[in-house]
Amino acid sequence: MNRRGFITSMLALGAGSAFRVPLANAADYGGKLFVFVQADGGWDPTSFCDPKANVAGEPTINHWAESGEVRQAGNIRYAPFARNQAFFDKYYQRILVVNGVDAQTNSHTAGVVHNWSGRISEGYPTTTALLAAQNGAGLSMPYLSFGGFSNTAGIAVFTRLNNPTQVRNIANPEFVNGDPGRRPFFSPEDWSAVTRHRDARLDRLAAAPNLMPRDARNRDLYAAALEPGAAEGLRSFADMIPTPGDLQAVEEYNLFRSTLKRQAQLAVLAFKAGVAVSADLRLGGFDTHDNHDLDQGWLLGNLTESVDYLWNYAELQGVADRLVVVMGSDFGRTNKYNAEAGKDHWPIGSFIVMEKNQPWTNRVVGLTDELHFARRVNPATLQRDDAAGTLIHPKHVHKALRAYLGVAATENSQRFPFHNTELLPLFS
Amino acid sequence: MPVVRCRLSWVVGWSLAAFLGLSLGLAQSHFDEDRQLQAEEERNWTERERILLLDSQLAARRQAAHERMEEFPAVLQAPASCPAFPGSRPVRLTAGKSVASPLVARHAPRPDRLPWRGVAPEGDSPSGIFEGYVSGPVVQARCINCHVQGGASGDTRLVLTPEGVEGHAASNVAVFQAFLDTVEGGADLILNKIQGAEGHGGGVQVVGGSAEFANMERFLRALGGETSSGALSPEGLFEGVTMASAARTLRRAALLFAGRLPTQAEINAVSDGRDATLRRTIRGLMTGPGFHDFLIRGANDRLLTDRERPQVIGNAEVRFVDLTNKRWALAQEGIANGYTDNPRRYPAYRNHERAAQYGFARAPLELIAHVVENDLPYTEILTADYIMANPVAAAGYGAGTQFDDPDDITEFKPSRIERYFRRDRSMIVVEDPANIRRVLNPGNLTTEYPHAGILNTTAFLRRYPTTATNRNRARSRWTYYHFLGFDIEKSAARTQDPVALADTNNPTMNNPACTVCHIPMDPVAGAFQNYGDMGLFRDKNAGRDALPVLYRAPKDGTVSPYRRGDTWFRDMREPGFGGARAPSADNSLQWLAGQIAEDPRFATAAVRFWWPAVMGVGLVEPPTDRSDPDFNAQLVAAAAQALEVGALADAFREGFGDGEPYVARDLLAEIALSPWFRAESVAGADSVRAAALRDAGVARLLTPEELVSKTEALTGYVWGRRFQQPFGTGETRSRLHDPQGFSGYQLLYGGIDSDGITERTGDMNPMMAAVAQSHAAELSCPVVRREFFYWPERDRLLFDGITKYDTPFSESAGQFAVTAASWEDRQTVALEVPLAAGAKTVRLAFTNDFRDGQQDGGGAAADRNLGLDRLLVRNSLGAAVSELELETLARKGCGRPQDQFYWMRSNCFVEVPLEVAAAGLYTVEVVAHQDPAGDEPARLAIAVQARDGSSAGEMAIRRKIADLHAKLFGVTVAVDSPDVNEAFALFLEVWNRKRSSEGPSFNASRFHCADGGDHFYFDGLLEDVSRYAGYGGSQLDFDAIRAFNQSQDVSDPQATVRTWVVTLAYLLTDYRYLYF
Repeated sequence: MNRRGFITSMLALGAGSAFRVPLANAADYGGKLFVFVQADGGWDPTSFCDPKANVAGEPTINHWAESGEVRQAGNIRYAPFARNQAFFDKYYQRILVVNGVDAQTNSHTAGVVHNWSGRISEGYPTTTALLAAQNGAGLSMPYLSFGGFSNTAGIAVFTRLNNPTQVRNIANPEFVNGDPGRRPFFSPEDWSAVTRHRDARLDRLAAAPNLMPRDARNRDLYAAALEPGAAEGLRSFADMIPTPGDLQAVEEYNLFRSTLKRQAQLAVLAFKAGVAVSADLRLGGFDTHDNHDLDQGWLLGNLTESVDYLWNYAELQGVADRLVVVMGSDFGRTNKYNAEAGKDHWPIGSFIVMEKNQPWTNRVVGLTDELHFARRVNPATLQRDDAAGTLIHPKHVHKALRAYLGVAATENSQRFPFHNTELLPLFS
Repeated sequence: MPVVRCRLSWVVGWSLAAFLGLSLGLAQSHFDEDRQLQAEEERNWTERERILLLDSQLAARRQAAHERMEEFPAVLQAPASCPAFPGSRPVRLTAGKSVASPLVARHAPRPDRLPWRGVAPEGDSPSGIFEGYVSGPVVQARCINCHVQGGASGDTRLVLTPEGVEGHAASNVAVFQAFLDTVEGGADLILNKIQGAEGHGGGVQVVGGSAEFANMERFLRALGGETSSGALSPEGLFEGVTMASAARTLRRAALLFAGRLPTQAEINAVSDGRDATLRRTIRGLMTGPGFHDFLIRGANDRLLTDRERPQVIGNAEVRFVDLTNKRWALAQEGIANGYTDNPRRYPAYRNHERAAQYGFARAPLELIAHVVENDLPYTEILTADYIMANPVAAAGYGAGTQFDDPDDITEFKPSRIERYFRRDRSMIVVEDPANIRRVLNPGNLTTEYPHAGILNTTAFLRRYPTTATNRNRARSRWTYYHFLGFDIEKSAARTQDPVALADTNNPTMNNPACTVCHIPMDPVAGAFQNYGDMGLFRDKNAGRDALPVLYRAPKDGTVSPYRRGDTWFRDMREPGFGGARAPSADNSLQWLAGQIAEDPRFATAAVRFWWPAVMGVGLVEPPTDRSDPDFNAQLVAAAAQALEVGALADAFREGFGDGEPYVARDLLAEIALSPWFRAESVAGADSVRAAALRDAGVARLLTPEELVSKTEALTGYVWGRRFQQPFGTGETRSRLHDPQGFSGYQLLYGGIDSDGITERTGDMNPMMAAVAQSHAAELSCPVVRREFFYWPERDRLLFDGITKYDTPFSESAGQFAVTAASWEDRQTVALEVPLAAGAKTVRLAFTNDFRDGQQDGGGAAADRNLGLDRLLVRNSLGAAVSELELETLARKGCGRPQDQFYWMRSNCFVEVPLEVAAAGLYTVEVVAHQDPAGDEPARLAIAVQARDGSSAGEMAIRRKIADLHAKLFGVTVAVDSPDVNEAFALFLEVWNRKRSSEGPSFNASRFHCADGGDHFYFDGLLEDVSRYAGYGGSQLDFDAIRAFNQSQDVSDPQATVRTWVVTLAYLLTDYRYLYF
């Protein structure tokens, strides 16, 4: 049995999965590709996809509402704010909005955990990790993380890509600066001998008895990371990384720096190279306790522009038809401004899910009232049901996502179930 | 400025003036490559400089937007007091020791931990157990704080009666009985909750495995409750687990704490197998720069204050008047030197700025290091009435600190902020056109800065900023988290009640859903009252307070409760802690620091703080959901760790053994003796035990920084090491660790940036594996080259005891200078060699060919050659056993017969078969002469090799491989072990290939390595080889390096050195090298 087969069999044993990372040959994976965009800090849905006009007698919810009207693209209402119009007008046919998602917290830490794993307490993997474990096992870097919350719960391993220009240097370790055009550190024969003997030794080390769980897991992980296919994938991806001048530029606005477009670019290239299937992208700065309108405006604009770039670049690279994009945040922001023209934390947020050519798009589900309080919905019809309905929590979104994306029945999902959670028909 | 010290005196002996023309060409190509890399480095630094400037501007805005700020306005359920905060002041510790060392507890549980002591006897009645063992120590001491009518848990199914009420015991037994009768799995639920599991808002109240836990369990069973716990107890978790030997533990501790390997003396010291010796020896490791780095790294991994390095004190800040005026003076200097558009780019200004920001930013981490390294009471990290400062920061503080080296900005000394001026109209500030400020008159508001250790360092305050609505609550949250070991966010569930969410009547004061945590949190927030959002003391309202202007003078028409003289919000709880009010507004943070230092939880927090630095992972948290995978395992692990942490904290608080209280080095040593660190193997672990021990014991991945330290300790080489002004050699950058910009592989290899990436990852992925392979591939050549060619035997770190003549077939070898300048004056050189009987080969090699374009006196080009006349082998009696006139040999490669001798015109060898009939001592004599040229005589290498079986050379190589396993991995292997067999097989394969591909002519010039890989590589070999380039980064003098390389004997006639390069690369990719 080869190493990969051995590890796969360990997964099947269940007990071993507590510390073994599954690997399977997914080199020919042709399924969907997943991007989760984390708007870190708490975005303002009332200025985005759950627009709120001001209410007489109540504090001002949104300054834009003093002069602007809520707009609509297809069936999707949006705020006339930032660059929303361009985004929704272009993409409403790919968009499902889930509003009124109660994160049950106004703490960033808990909000991030809740919104990206589906459970408010720590311990569950991100859906990104579940998708990577199921669809990308055996790939060089199935799960890309550019920061933010990326808990794997031991079912996958994520890869950082924060220094993309360095990747080329290490993709071919035997060459100076990884450049096959330059003099190698070792002849091909010598390097081949090193890797051959190294692999033989790793196999022997991995077979040692009575190892501590961490020791056993790490031996497997190291061996898996050195698989020829993984290294080859890394090389193919490295070859695709643009030169520094062609990488998407870092965008700056006052205090903010956004690398979101660059993240999107690298994720798409990794998808195209066939080395990744899911990615967590992150844009920070949404915690606008002061100067809310200007800062949130730029951030939301950058967010939508970057997602637009993501789609365009995915189209260019031929992977757009396989792409599923999920956008969300820690929670929302208060339904009023504070004394410093900021907005504080508010537990009610929204998700946006995007995919091409799907019947469930051009739709808004979930409800909030005029002051952005979440309303209960009938779990079967998704219509408002104050009496017997349910509040939508992140767990509902993730449960539906797991089902729709085909990982609900996997062993990993079963290990991290959502109890007492209705399967909402978000994707039907 | 030259920074490399010369240690050339021992570089003697074989030296060559130059190599072949071919070698020059290759070398030139190589140097061009290094220069390209250097130019690239310079471009990168220019870009980095730009980003740094941008960062400094962004940092000021960033904090103004209060990213990452945590706020808690209105969403918590349950009224009354928060369970983690009893509401009364903590009991002040009494002097004297009552707690044994946790090591004692580890091997012989303390009396109060023994399960049969202090535990209710089997068969006792429920009321008997309850009244005798549960009511007082558990229910009335802990549960009742919340589970009481009107308490935080007064709306749960378990509402108890306090002891002041008559009949409370019977009543409470009835409550428990009713709970068990109505709640399925009720006993397990209670037992889990009290351990902090299943989302218990009160956290851990009773530690699993303790006597109290056992009593609770027996009580519930006596009531008829069924408990499923007991299959694996916390105290039995390590049954079947074998601990690492003292030697291995010492090695791991040395790498961790000292960034080096243990010395032989230290290894010998622990050979007695006694834990006391091991403890003492580990304790002794905790000194020097390696330990300092460990402390800085470990502390930053928790506090993350290094995020503030780009800018702690903004360019426009004037309250540190001496800093401001120093900036102004340097800016004027810059303008005078032509930097009129942007004097901040003036190198002296720029370097001062970097040094100042570094000094301000590192204050909290350096304070921790100072306290620990000097065995000061660990409480001083909060109570210190000083701040740690480097020379530039100290000058900015107006402190008169004396430094050992005032030019070393990485030297930190305790200092006081002497010249901080709050700002009112009396301060006169002018600003020049380049926005550089100058304080003409600091004004009247001198400040006696109320130092409070870490808490009011600017870096700490900026890392955990505040806003007008947050009101220092984030600072309170993180103070609880770091220094009291309590995560306030996990202390209560969150409300879904829209009414509570909509409450606008000051909910943090009035709404029970909010007060549950704001009662304890807000007074601590108030203790930070004097520090504004920029982390500066009383920076608002003309220096009177730090209150937001919109609080004092709202613009929305509301009336502020503010009154002149206030320093804190009147619509919040008063500054205080644990139910006590801060006595003075002027120094409330100092007061808070003292309160925390006296709180018993401080010791526990210290253990929690340092645990990840030693173990590589944080403590296991009690699981929240009984349906969680591995719930039981996680519960057991959390309980077992709680026992360990509790014992460590007890001893830390009282002093380990005979030691003083709060000595952190004792604590760190004790953590390293924990089974959680030492567990090495486990026999027959079931799935629950395996999951509970998931991250325990040996073999965690070295962090990028630790890998740098390990490799440097073992090889003296740091991959991609550079230095930079103004840090000099005090803080260097490398491929795996760039504290000044994260430009290398640090993040790819699982490191953190203290900002968006704050948690290390120890799970290897292909990207990280590629980094590790590159690390091995890139450094093996220069390491081996220096060991074999540049360093004398006594200085070698890895390849001592072996020569380049030790081949898999060699019996013995030697190298000789041939000085005879003509055949007529030919000389005899002799090699004495012990030989076993059998077929041998005598190899004769010319290793230092030389020629250049210069002509000698006769008009011929200078050309060094070697002439071999005769080979004679004698036995121990002096009798000739073999004799050969060498001119009889056929032409081969660069050698050919020439009259009476065999002439070798370039580096090559000839081999002569030799049959040895009987084992014994033999002498190989060669008669030779040279054609002299250049600065040294010709060298003749004589090697005797076996052709039929193992040789002395093979044994030497095997021994060296085994030795490298010991050095690199810390494992002892036999010369015929699978490990050595495998490595030797590689060696043999590579060596044979090189020999067969090269034929009799070898080319010494083929031995080339990148010279620019480590800017300290030539330290001790070459003087003034490194200097600062215009951009402030280190730069090498490649012309000097080339001359040096050409002057050294880098001949590798047997191809062994190049084979060792490959073999070392192989060993450096070993799992056991990367993990420890």
